[in-house]
Amino acid sequence: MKKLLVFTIFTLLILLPHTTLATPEFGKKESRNCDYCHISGDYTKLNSRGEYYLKHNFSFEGYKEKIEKGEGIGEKLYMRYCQGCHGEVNDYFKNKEINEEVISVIKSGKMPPNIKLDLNDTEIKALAKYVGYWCNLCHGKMLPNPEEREIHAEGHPSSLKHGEFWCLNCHNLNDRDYLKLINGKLIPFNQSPELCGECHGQVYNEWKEEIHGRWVGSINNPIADVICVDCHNPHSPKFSPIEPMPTPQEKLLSFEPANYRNIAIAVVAISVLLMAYAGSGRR
Amino acid sequence: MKDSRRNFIKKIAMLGFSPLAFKIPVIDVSFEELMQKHFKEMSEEEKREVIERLEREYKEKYGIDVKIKTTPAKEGVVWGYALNIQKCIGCRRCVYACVKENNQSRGSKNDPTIPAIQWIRVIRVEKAKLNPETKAKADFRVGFGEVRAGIDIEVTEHYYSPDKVPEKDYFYIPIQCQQCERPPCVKVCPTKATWKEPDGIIVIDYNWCIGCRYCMAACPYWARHFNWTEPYIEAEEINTNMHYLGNRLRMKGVVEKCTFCIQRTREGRFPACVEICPVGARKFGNLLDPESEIRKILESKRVFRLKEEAGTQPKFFYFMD
Amino acid sequence: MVKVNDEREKVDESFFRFLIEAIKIAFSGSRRYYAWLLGLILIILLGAYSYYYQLKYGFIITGMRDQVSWGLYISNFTFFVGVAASAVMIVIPLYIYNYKEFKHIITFGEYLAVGALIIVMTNVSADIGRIERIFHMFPIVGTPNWPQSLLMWDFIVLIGYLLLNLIIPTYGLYKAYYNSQPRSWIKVLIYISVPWAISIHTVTAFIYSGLSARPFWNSALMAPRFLASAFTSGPALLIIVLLLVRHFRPEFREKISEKAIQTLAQIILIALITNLFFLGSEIYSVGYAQTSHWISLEYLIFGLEHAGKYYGVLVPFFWASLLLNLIAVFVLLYPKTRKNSYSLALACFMVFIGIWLEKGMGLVIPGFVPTPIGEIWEYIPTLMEIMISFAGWALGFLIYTLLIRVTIAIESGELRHLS
Repeated sequence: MKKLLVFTIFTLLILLPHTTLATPEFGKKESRNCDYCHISGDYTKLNSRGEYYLKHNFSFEGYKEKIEKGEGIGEKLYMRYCQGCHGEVNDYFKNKEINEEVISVIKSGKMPPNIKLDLNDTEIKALAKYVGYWCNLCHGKMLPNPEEREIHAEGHPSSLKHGEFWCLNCHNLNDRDYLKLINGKLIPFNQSPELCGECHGQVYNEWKEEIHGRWVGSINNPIADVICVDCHNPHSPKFSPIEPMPTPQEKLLSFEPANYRNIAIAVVAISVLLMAYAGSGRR
Repeated sequence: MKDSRRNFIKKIAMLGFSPLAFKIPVIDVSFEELMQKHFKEMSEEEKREVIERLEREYKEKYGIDVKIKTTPAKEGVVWGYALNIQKCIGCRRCVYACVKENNQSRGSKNDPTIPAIQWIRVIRVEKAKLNPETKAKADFRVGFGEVRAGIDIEVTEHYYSPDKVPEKDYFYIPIQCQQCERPPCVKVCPTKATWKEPDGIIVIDYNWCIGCRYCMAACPYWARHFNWTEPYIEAEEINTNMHYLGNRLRMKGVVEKCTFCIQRTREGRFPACVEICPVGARKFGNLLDPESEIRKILESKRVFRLKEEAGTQPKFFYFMD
Repeated sequence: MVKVNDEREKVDESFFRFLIEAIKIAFSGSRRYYAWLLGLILIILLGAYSYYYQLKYGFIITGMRDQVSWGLYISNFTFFVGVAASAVMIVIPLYIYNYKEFKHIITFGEYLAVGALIIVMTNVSADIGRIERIFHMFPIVGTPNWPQSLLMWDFIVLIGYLLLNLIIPTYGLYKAYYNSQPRSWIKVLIYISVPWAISIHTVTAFIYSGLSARPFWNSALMAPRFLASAFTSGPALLIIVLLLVRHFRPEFREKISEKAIQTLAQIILIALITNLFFLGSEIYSVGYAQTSHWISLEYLIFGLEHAGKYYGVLVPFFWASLLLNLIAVFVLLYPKTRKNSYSLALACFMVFIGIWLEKGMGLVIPGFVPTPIGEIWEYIPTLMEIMISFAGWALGFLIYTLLIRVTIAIESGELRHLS
């Protein structure tokens, strides 16, 4: 009986890995290991690559890798939608209790200021938990100070590299959930291109015509709905210089068989001697 | 039944028993390949056979499964390209995206006899800097002081490698095939191995090119590149989404060039260089569609084309904001 | 009269027999003659061995790259098309102006065209990356891009010219072998060969001058310049050959008259001066205006400086060519040196080398430097490439040697059909 049990367990142990590796053909075909498509540690689940592969007729064609460093969903979402303007989230705020007001701000589309943001409830909750705050959470309780000065508050951009501006040229003094146009009109953050357009009129018009910016997606619909701050950090809009890729190949070297030089010299020498002999004397 | 017979024949062909699969020594070319027709003269059946052969050969050589398409051009489409040279920062991202997408020979750091072919060349041009104190050199091409203003591509820098781009005193011009409306390369080809497709892309049938390199001499944009030896590419680096006239693997002794990523654009996707450009300097679209973004650029921007004087009518436009 | 003709036709004028006899005599000669043939064959074998490597590994074994995509092969091709075309300079005086002195040198001239065309064909074939697909250029089995591609035109005119220059002198020798008169239809071919010779070099020049991508070549003067240089280099080579024939076979001193050689020397002189004039005119018009056409010429004449580096491998070639041509002008102008066969041979040799440097290396390669997008890249041929190209020379000279061996045998009466 005991023997049988040991045998059964042993057999199962041998068989088990085989059942989990349901389709190693795919791995072989794509010359990838399991972790490429499956979530490490739990191979029953697929990661984003695997999902794409499954949904696109077992092909990676057209797949574009999204580099996301963050661990949790909240951090990932923060990195994608918030970090561009807000920088690293302050540890003081990080992973607080969920604030219902933060959730309502995200849901209203005020912040993050993306035109189209399809976040489900769990994602919104994760993001709210991760950021833990929004402007008016603090500024609503503070006395506004309109005096132009350098800001050293934590979590705020310390150096502003955008023209000769300071914060309140764009941000609204009294209600920090809004931006302020030159004519005094208040606009929510998701309408920020209007503010940018006040100075960058030409670019603003081009953006509206969908000819400004980096074109991704399909030819018929080049720009996926993105706004200025999706690419440009409003506090430092100019892209920082980047490293160039390597130079082109300058010299493609030639080669010749071993001893070719010696053979060639010998053959030419012999033939020159023969020709010299031929040319000496008459007839 | 018919299928199994075909498979049987294929297997025999793979084993090298079929006279068609016999490879001529030294040049290493099978009779089947040698007897192939010009792409434009092939029937659908013949195209399929050729593609089967190519897929089989790639499988043998690299152990990969590829899909070679022959997607024809769509009606009412002529592709055009626009590049904002004010935005270009000369980072060469496009060069390497192109190499990756189009299966060019990769080169090797250790072996300088392995070719690295690149279809895009980014050149660095000095901004006009007026420095009257510098005495004019004996070189009388240089005018006032040391200034050479304007887009002067007579002598240019191709091998710039600073730590960071863009650099202060320079701007950059990426040059690739300009897909001319009056392509001199097509005109000079003795075998009609290169031609203009209905969507305006100049393509090459790599199996028809005899490698005389007349087209390379005729191209004013240095867009054509020759396989000086067998191209080298690692099996895992091959892009398996291939087009017969585009990025399928090439052989030694033939010319190759940019096709606006024909394997992508004919499916409505952007060329790889457009997608990669980190600053959005590259624009692409259908010139015949009045609503297309590229048309809006051509209408609203001041555009110019390289070497208009060559009479080539490029469909590759350069513009500035 | 009619009867005589009939009797003559009764003699079995088998071309096949003539051919066998001709081949027999072509491979018979003194020990020195065999040494000469063997020397050439050795070079051909070395070239074949190198070509095997080129077939196997591709053009990486040459010095050409994307920047300079045509090199030594096309240079030699261009130069020898000129040499081949120059046979017309003997045909025109003889058949159009009835200049009798050229009667016995016409065969040497026409066969020289054959030899030159062999060099042309071998060099241009060596430059084809996929030689096994060459049939793509042929009608029916291929898709020739005619009349658009000048390379197709060149292919057609070169094949035609080769056939003309094989048929015309061979027919003459064949008739001489049987002691009979040539039929008059051959005259038609001879008259066709005159414009044909002009056309081969014009078409070759058009290969270059039609390219707007290369301002250095894109000049209307290209074809006239090509013809002028052709009528210099071809007769120069012919004079050397004729002087050698006179040297080795004293019985030919009557047939190859001093007067004929002097006329050829004057043709060279006129063509050489015209060629130098064209060159000067070309240099002036682009050099004075300093347009984009100038940069390649600047590279050729002075070399270019870029990013602290000097590029100028072709500079010595240009100046050497100019010097050789100028010295040759004076040697040929001065009657005493022109009439001395040693100094004449030396002048012809200088012209030949001078034009080869000017038209071969100095015309094809600078067209590529700098590249159309401004990269300066210097071309230096590799040893293998040089050997392949010179094997083409050796093959041309070998075939020419065999052909003039037959010519000499028939002209001297050594080989005649005994009826």
